[in-house]
Parts: sequence; structure tokens; C-alpha cells
Amino acid sequence: MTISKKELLNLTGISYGQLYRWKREGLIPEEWFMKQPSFTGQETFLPRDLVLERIRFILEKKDSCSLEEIREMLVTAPDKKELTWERLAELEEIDLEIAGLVRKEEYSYLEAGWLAALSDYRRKYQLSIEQAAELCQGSRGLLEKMGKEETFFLIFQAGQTYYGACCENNKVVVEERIGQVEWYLLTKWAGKVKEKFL
Amino acid sequence: MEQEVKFTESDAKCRVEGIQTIKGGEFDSVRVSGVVTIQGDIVTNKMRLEGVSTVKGLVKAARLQVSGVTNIANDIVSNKIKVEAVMNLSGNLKAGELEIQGVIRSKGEKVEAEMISCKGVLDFAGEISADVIKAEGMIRADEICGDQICIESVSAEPYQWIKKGIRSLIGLEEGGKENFSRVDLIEGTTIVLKNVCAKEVNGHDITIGDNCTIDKVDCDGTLCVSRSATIKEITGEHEFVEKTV
Repeated sequence: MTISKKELLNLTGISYGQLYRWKREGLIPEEWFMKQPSFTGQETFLPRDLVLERIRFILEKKDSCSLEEIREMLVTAPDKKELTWERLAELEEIDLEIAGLVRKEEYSYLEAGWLAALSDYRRKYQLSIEQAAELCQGSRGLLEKMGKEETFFLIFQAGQTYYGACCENNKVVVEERIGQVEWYLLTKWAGKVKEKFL
Repeated sequence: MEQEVKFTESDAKCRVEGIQTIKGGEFDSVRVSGVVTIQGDIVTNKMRLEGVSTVKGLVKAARLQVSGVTNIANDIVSNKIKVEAVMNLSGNLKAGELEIQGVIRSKGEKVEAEMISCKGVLDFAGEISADVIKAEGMIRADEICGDQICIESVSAEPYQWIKKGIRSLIGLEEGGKENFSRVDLIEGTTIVLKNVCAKEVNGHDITIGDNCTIDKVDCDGTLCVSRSATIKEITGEHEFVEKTV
């Protein structure tokens, strides 16, 4: 889902100047600015959830950090190992029981983010440690797909089990525990059905 | 005094005169005053191009001054650029401060700076983005966006002969509003325009000054419009203010 530039400014209260400054500084990725034809000519749209979350983060940090520091936080190579177990354990976002399931000497920021997401989900939905362990082991394989681009990590419940999924090249990727997944291009199938009636 | 940021620790000085071709490299300073081709990338703290030069690689210069005619085939990254003569650019430009007293003609996609001041000509089919843009000269661009945008193109006669020379040099057309800046889209927090033709102007506080021709203005703050300006459509929740000057 996208949001127009004008709606974005109205919703967040930021100015054109701020938006373009953050774009220049690399805080908002250039590829998020998508020009699309509109009835007035051409309008720029951005991915709604991603940009709103990004602006919320920048606004939260902008009084205590420089734009360069914020950029560092946002664009640190996700697979670069920089966090020791001790530093990770200090973070209030991390559930140590979950982190303990994948204990090692160093963690990347992406791994830390994944653990923080799992910890948050466990807190919200009261997962037992067994359920959390299953989810943690199952979704671990998605990490290499999630580091490539800005993406969501999706957690959902099916039956009594919890699963993870993410997006890769605009396709939802589910974890390996979920089998028999097929993609159907609906327009192609609709065309096949239509042929029968011609 | 403001501390100079260095792009390289090299203390080598490069001085090129006559007709020469050099490879590029890292230098504390580079000064070119002949007919020179630089084949590769160049990283330097200070670069001055006075003759007729061609740079085929990337230019990373803490300070860059163009006083001759230069063709740059790649990107430029600099803290401060001053163009007194002519610069033809094929790549993108990123600078802290960009001062144009001569002509920049660019075929790149982006010109980005914190501050752009233009008393000459910036002719560019792409996006210009800067915190502050102050232009008394002429700008041609697809998009100009930033915080404070002030384009008050001079239509008075004193510079006419210079501009005529520049126009014939870079091949711009004659006739009509030839001294006017022309931009498809202008977006900024505060926008002040004079002698500008634009398709769309979006901003918070907007002043459409004398002789402007604008297809559409979207304003959500204050809007001031000169009697000699022409606007086809105005949208947004704004307050009209009288022109004070």
C-alpha cells in the first residue's frame, strides 16, 4: 500500500525541506519515491508502512542524534557481526530465553532485530518457551532472505503452531516447516477458464 | 575559522600545463591550466581547473574551482564548488556548497547540495535538491526541491550581452521569455519566484512574483501572488497575503 507525498507530509507534520533533506542524506531510500501518473499529471508515492515507520524513527532520534548517526543506525550492514552476547543481553527488547536458544559469541544487527521481533511477539501473545523455540528454529532460515532488502518479518499462528514469513522480490517466502506452497498467477488462470467459454 | 575537511592525506601537488594527459590519482592539490585530459578518478583537497580540461573519472575534491571550460564525464563529490566559467557534466553532483557564476550544463540525474547559489546558468534535465537554493540567474531543470527555494531570475538588461553570449555558447534558444527560469516541478517549504515558468509549484509558504507563469500551485500555508503573474490553478488550504514590496 502506498501513500502520496502530500498525504505523508500532512500525516506526519514534516515539511518538504525535511523530507528532501532526509532523502539526500540517505535516511529515506531513493527507491521509495515512486512516480506514478495521476489525473493531475504525475505524483510521487511511497510505500506507506515503511515510510511512516521510518519517519517515526527519525523524528524520535533527531533531537538526540545527528543525521549521520541516524543514517548509521539505519544502514549498518545487516549481516555485519558487531554485537557480543553481553551487549545483546543488556538490551531490554531481547528476551534472554529466546536469545539463549541461539547463543553464540557475536550477532549481526539483523539477527538482533529478528530476536527482538520474536521477543516482542512472545510477550504479546504469551508464547511458552517450547512454542517460542519452535518458532525461533523454524524462522531462522529466513534471515538470509531478509537481509537483502528492506522487508517485513511476518509471524503468524496456524493451529497451535507459530510460523514466520518474509518478502523476497515482492513474493512472500514462508519458512521450511510449511510445505506444499504454490503460487498461482490469477490472471493466467482466469484466462484459462475464459478460453473454455470462447 | 571553519575547519577544512580533507579528502586525502596525500601531500603531493599536481600542476599541469600545456597539452597533456594524466592518469588521475590522489593529491593534496591539483591545478590545471592547459589543455588537459584526466583519464581516471581524482581525489584531492583542492582542485582548480583553468584551461580546457576533460575528466573521464570520478572527481572527489574538497574544494573545486572551475575557471576554464571543463567536461566531466563522471560524478563529482565536493564540499565546495565554485564555477566561474563553463562546466559540462555527465554524471551526478553532490556538494556542500555550490556557487555558480558561470554555466553548468548537466546530463546527469541529480544535483544535490546543502546550499546552491546561482548567478549564472544551471541547465539540467534532472532533479536539483538542496536545503537552500538562491538563484538570480537562470535555471532549467525538471525538478527543484528543498527547504528554502528562491529563484528570482534577472530579466533586466545589464547582463543581456553576457547571457546572449552564454546562450549561444551552450545552444539555448532565443525569443520570448528566454531569460526566465523554466522548471517542471518546484517543491519546497518556502518558495519565492520571479520570472519563472513552471508546470507545478507545491509548498508551504509561496510567493509567485512578477512575470511568473505557473500551471498549478498547491499551497498549505501562505500564498502571495503578483498581479503580473499567471496561474492556471490553485489548490490547498492557504491564506492569501498581500505583496508588501
